[in-house]
Amino acid sequence: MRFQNVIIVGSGQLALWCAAYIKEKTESTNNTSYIYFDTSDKISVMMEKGLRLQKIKYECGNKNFIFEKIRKTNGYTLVISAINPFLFPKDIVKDKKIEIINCHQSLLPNHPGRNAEAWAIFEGDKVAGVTWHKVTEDVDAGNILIQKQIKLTDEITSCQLFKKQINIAYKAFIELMSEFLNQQVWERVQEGKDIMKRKIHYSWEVPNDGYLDLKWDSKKISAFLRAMDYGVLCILGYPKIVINGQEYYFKKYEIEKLVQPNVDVVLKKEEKQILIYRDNLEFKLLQYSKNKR
Amino acid sequence: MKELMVILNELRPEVDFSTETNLLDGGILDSFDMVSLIGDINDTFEVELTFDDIDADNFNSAEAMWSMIERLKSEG
Repeated sequence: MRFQNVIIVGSGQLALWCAAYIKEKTESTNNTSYIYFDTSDKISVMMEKGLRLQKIKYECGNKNFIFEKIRKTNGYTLVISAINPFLFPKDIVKDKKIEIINCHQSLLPNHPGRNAEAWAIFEGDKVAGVTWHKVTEDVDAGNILIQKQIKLTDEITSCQLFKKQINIAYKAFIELMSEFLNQQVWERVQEGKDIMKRKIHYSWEVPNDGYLDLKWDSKKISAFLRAMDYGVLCILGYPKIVINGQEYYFKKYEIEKLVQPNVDVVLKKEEKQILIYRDNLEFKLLQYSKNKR
Repeated sequence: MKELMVILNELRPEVDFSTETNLLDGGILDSFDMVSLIGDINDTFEVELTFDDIDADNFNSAEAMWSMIERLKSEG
């Protein structure tokens, strides 16, 4: 192995799987491996259980704690960033003894930044995917090491896509690591978009600021609802709608295909649901409440 | 309890939820399972579970989950 140390930074199932894989690889050598994760993450409880169970060495703390640990490593170090929300500081990225790779939930150069799966759905992409890439000073701009595609259906939600991405990202990781741990692999420069002009999505950005626009057609309304849908994780908050100047948020929705398009009614507010009719679809917005603007 | 067993068996058909008592501590349920499970429990039993409620005492067995659901329902 060409690295003296392997460090995994991240959270959730992908980080756990990567850590287990690396543990197995480093156990047969004298190399060290550690996983570091942020305790503020919602799923850190699950993470810790998995790590203990698989006897993987770990430490948890805030991002400064994690970065200090990386800075203090001796020897050539591989840092694997898997569902890691933090940007690495310049001094770590520039350190010649440290090589950082990151898993991004899109087919870069599309959708750099946070919550890429939601943006892919909201923007009506036909194909999404994952990219393992080198980390450079610019966000999600480094050379591509491996990519895998996922076809998007008209029903998929952000939560469902994220799960598919994690599974395929791990498959790609194994494929990549079979060579990468021992030798340099072929890298592809991100092409097609000027790195400096790319639209990077930040964590505070939400499709259409979280508002369902009643002017949208059925495809866009469906894409918006599915993009906002992270199940109980509720990563982007609850979607909102404004009706006659009053803002409402809603916790659930259903989309149903109508045999015959409802041309007489476009919007109906009932006690337990708000109904929107577009083309041949009926959108039920459920568990809604008034929102203070 | 019957409805909970339907949810669990649909989630992971290969697991015997009637006897398993180490679902969380034993790593049988992973984080994706928990996302689906919490969502399904909330929808079916009209409770409001969050990730903060993930605790071995509440999720290590189907029985423990049912006790938690009944407690949450009685608390309103």
